[in-house]
Amino acid sequence: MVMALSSRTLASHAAPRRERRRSGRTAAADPGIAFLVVVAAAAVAAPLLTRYGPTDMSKNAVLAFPSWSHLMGTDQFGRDILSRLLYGARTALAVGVGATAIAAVCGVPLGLWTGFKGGTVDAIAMRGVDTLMAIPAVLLAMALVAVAGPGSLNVAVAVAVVGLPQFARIARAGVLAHRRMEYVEASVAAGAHDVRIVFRTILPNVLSPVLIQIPIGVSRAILLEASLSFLGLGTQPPQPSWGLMISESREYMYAAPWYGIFPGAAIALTVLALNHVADRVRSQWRTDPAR
Amino acid sequence: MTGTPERNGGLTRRRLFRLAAGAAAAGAALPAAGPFGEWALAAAAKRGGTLTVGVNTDLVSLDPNDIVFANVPMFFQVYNYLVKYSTTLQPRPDLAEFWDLAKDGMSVVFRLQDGVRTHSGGTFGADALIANFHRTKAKATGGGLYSRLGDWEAAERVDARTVRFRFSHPHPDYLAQIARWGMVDPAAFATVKQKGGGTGPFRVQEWVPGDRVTFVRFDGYWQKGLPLLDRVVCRVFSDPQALENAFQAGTIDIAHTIVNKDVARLRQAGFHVEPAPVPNEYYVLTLNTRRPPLDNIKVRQAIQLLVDRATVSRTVLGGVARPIAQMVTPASPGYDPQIETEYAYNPAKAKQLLASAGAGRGGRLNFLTSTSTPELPQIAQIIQADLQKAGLDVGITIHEPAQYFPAYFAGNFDLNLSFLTLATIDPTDFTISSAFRTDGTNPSWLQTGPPPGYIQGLQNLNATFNMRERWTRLRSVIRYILEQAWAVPVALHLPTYGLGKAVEGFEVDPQMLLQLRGTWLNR
Amino acid sequence: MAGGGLGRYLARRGVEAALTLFLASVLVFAMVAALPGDPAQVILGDRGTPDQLHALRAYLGLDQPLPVQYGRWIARTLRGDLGHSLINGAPVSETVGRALPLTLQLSLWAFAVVVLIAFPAGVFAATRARSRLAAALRWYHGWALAVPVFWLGVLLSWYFGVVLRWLPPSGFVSLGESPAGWARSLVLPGITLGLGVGSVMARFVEGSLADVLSNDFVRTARAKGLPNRAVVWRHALGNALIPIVTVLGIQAGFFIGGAVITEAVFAIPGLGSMLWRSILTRDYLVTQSVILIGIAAFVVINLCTDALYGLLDPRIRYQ
Repeated sequence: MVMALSSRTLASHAAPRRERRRSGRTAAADPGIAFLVVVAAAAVAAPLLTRYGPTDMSKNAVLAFPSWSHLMGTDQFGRDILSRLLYGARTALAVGVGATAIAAVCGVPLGLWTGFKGGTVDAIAMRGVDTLMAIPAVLLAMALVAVAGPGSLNVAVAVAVVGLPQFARIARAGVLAHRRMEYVEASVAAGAHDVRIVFRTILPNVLSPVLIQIPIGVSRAILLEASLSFLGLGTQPPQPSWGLMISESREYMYAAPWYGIFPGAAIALTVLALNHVADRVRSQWRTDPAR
Repeated sequence: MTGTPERNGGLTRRRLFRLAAGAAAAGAALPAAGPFGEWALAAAAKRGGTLTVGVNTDLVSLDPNDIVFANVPMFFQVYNYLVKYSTTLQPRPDLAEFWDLAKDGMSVVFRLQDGVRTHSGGTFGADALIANFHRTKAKATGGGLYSRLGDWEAAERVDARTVRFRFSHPHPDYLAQIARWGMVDPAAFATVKQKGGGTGPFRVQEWVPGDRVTFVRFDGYWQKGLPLLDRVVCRVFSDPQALENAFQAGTIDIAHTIVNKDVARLRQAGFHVEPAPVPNEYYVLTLNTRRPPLDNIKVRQAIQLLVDRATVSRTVLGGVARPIAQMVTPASPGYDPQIETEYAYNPAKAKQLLASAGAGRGGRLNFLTSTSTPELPQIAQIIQADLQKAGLDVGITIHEPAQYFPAYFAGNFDLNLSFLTLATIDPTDFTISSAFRTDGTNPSWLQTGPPPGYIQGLQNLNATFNMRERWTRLRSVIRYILEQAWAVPVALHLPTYGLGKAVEGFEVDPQMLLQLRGTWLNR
Repeated sequence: MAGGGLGRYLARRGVEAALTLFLASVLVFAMVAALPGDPAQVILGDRGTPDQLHALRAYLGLDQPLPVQYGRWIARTLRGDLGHSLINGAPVSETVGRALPLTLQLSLWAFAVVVLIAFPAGVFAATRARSRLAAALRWYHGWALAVPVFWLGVLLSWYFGVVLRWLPPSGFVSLGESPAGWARSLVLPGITLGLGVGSVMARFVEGSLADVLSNDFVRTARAKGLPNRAVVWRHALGNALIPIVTVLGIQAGFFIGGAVITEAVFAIPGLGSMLWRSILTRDYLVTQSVILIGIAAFVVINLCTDALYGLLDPRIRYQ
């Protein structure tokens, strides 16, 4: 919740200078991107990396301490925590990327169009966006999932609805800044169609802030999915999800304290990497404003 | 009392019923030990003090007719019942000092104790009892008890403290039907939901929903010398972990209840944790017989053999609540140990049954359960894993009770896991639960109702007033249900209580009511 | 500049805020009404018969058409009457009155954590941008922003409550019961709720201060020979304070949402727990009222920071 907000606020604020100096490095050498590639690869190749299924129970090895046969130990049903972590990465990434894609694909055109047209349409849309933003993200997502029912697809849609206003706002701010610029006025004077002006002429010029918002959106979405699953509304057991694993581990805080460490660290590292990438994209854009 | 079925029966007995041992020395404080055996007062008993009970579910109302499971435990403080049940499952006098069933079984006479006062200062006699009868017989105010008194037709005043009730037909379970009928002070009828008011040992001082209920000693209580405590504070903890922390820190005297899986850890740390002496609820898997492939009895019987009770009991329930394969409390004469071995976990035989049931298993089975207890989703996962291994595709849906019940009663499930009532004080107790309704509102048998063999079995059971014979006849009803395999008992749902070092004379009756009239604090 | 312009601006923002609140009330009501489930079932449990269920639903007013239910709710709320809980019949205003102070106390602790992190860390990083400690602080902020609130809560509760036994792992002690117990019971929840926002604010303070420090007047102050500490804390920070206060206001509004998770983790019976419980039991009136109170708080805090902004900095024009 608070984290989700923080990334939003960060979007509008100065990245620490050190980042700027580093921005010359190639993408492949960036630790954030490298980590994300590893997570994505591990999620895809999960069946190859572990011999246990994420829901396979071994009733005689319950809450086992990490060992060679179970690198991260086992949970209350003797399920392999590493396996659940890897398959949980699929859930996290699918919901994170999927929800952000939906939010961007719906939010950006909405912001562009209403910003360009202005007037009543704009006023109404922005009031709606304000209303959505006034409801704390976790509550809004909780309510949407409760109505639609749990399950990864519904969670992704709910998380997308929560993220949509940011994209709309950013796109709209871009349009407002560019609407009175000469190149836009020129297109209007040349009699170009509104749709063409908005999507062909303006969009490429306001793309940078939208691109920065994407890794931030993904990290927010991953946190939100984890929060929902933690509260029992997201991914349903026995399917693995990082938030659900933390929630279940709470009951075994005394008996198996390591149980919750791994999924928590997985969320934190992934979000850290995404935020790092966002900072990087932003500083690159600052040093190279011509883009 | 009979030996309790639980591992620590000896300790339970010593801690919970220490009072009984001191009975001989008690004489002075109580009317003759006779009917109040359990409440005989120990010589060392101290008076006064405030007892704090931590509970993990808030009350829904203070009306004893609202018999939801969250409410019930604390009711015994405020209300008296006509009879109470001992841990040997025998009815004992409580507010009624005497009762007599007519020879034809068509009516019963209750004589109330002498000198019973209500919290508002009135006397509780025949008229008050009749007023309570009419209140419970009315749909608007009857709450969960309304349907229980369906066979009770009329109440007549015999004298100032004697009432005769007439039945529509003889039914031998009449005492069990009123075992949860708490007597409300007629002067408190209008405000009972919020403020309570009865004849019990404690008055409600204040109810702060979501936080606490405070009970104070009722000086006019009819059992002389009781209660011993000045005050009982019942604090609500929404999180079981927080409740356990408070218990360990000593901020509460009694924890109601400790999660089963934590019992061993707390005991190891030197705390007293005791299970209820007589289990009256059980976790049970019910099947929707209206939906293929579960309309096929062989598939149902296969599922029955795929429930790994031992693992459920050992892991999720911490070895405290034991496995059970029948709807009967182990403490009763109706319990049949043979059933436990006959219906034990047997995946090999289940696979044979599934194979012989043939193809057409259909799509994914919807396994519905709720968050009523933290254990339900966990037990469901164990069962799901075994069904999956046997080739049945099963998806779990977990709802909070508000969403679970509508889905369940509409039959929107293939498999369902919940906890229901065992046959405890009467062989027919288990039929109160929705899964054993005899009509078309039974969610496992929507529209059609359960098969006639079941209904005939129940009629046969109720055809005699001889308790021993009734428990024997229960066995064949249970066997019939298990053969039809629409309900598969899994394990006991057993409340466990954390008892602080100073708590003496704490009692829990077979209906899980906490009885604090004889409880005292040794500090 | 400030007088008429600010007044008109605030009036317009007030109307906008009212409109947002109205839309939010419709949205909240619609969402809550769309939640599948039935509070009557919670009350009756497994044993309720269908006709009992009908009777109870009628008694609770759940059989009325939705627009009628919305109208009743809004009319009552405008009169200041939040109605009664469907589940236990308790007056919602009383329950809120008991839960709200707890959430405010928690927010206060979290706010203290935020301030204690944000200003020292932010000022240090802005003034000694190239030091190792500043680099370490940035590294720390990255982590603090990435750790999910609920996991942080679980970790703190486990380490300080269970392993070290320094602080209670969960639960709430009221100030009246024991002041020391009260303070101890709020330390971990306060840190859980405040740590992330602390880092957001630290980075913000650092950014704002760095901007101000590069301004002419700071150079002038330095040239005059004022000690560095006075330049930073009095001149520069004073000027950077306006945007910082604004952002702090927005963050305070978000404590309302964060409280749901923090209170769930630490079992604090505040507004967040109340909301969560009411959603689970479909206690519609409680859910609607609590969410609306949260939104109203958020809108009002933002309105106030806008006004504050204007008062602190008369250079700002309101359009």
